[in-house]
Amino acid sequence: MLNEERIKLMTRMASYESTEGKKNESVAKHFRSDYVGLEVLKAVICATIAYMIAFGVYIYYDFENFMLNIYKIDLWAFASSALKKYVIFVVCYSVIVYIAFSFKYSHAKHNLKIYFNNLKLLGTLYVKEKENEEDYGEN
Amino acid sequence: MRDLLVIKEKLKKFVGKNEVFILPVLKFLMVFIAMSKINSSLGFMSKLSNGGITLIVALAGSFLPLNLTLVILALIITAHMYKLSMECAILVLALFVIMFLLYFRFASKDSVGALLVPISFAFKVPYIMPVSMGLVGGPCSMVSVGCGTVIYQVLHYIAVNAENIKGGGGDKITEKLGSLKAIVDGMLENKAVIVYAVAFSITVLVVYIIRRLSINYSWFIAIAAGSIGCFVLVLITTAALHAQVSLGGAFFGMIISIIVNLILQYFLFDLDYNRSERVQFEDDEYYYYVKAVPKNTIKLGGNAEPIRRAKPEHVREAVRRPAPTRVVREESATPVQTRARETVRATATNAAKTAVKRPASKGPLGMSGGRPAGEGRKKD
Repeated sequence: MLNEERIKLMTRMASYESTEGKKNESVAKHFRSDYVGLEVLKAVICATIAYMIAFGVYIYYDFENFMLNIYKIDLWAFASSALKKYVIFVVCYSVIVYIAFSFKYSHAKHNLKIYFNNLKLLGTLYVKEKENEEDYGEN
Repeated sequence: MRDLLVIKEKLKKFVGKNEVFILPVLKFLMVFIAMSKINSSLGFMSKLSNGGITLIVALAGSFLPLNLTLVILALIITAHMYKLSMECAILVLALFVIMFLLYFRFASKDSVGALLVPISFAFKVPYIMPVSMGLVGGPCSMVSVGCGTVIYQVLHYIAVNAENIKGGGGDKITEKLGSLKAIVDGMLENKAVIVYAVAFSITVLVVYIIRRLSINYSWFIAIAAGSIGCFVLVLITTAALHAQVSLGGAFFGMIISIIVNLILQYFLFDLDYNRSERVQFEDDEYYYYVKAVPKNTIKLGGNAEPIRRAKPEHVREAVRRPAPTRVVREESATPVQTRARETVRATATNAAKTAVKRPASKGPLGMSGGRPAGEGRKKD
């Protein structure tokens, strides 16, 4: 027999499953620290590559000047300055990524909690329905 | 006003009926326009500039994710740049790679901003986009709008100075390096990039904050404040940086932005076409094919409660068919459906067991646990 309340609930759940549900499920498979840590690690790698590209383009842009003054400039100071900028850039970017993915993880967990609560509710509705059917059967 | 409401209602019905086709068509048009503009202003590689390639890319873009479309367009632009000069290709490729690595990797929803902003610049109506993105996007959209602005300005500079760039790069390595330095210096001298990027990014944030306020007519106020604020920001940054930006164009842009965004807000953003959903699921007895259409409610504005139901409508089409055999159902069900069904069964069984153990306890979400399973209400 069709139960309107149950169909509404199942529709809501199916809609969630087909949209955000899949993504949230893959997010919530991990512990918070694992998930955010992995994303921060990826961010550090990406930031390193991006910095290397930008640094390479800068050297290419100023290559003539750089080669002319290579014996005059303090290479140690130049390298330490570049390294300092790299560290500042990576740390700032990682902090932004950490905040963004922590928020994403909490959001996914919250949505999944609602989804599992709905699953429990659905189970209860099934039990109730079965009971009602049995009641009518006995009558 | 009544005519407008009628048009709005007709538009809503039309979109509701043809929603499956409308999104791919819109994506096709967007990519087609982007490809046409790229070919007309940067068409240095004749093999990529023909209509066939444009059509193929536009067709692919109509069903591919927007991020992937953006990657394809970036590769096409880089190929055109390579034909012009190696230095331009390196520069543009570096710019794209940095943007993808740092931003679009984890904010895929906002990539539409980076595609639409250059298109709006090409049509000389750039002031519309920051306000629109503030209305439909989030605070992160300011980065995508900024990226789109930078992409357009860099490509525009290269397109305008194509002859000089082509003549400047000689065969010798020193001439090549000089060419790259000249291109970058020329770009850095163009302060309009900074003016537009700063003004547009702040506008997105301002519009987003105002439209989220719990006040009446927050969207209208956000459009007006965003457009005027954008104009003021362009004025200030232009004066501060001594940039060459047309202030008359900015003023007219502000007026056009207000008008176009009001129209868009009325016909597009206000209706939320995407909420109609078609879902399929099943239980032990039936397959359900459901189309859920949201009820059309008119709001006072801000976070106010709905005051009137314009058209109470909740369509549910449940096509009921007795399920065939269990084996067939298992094959036809998607993994998610199967898993959900198994979870439901397990939960139901557990709930029944719990009910047997703790008849008086409360169930999930405050529902009473009920009687033990199988123990029906006794007849008096």
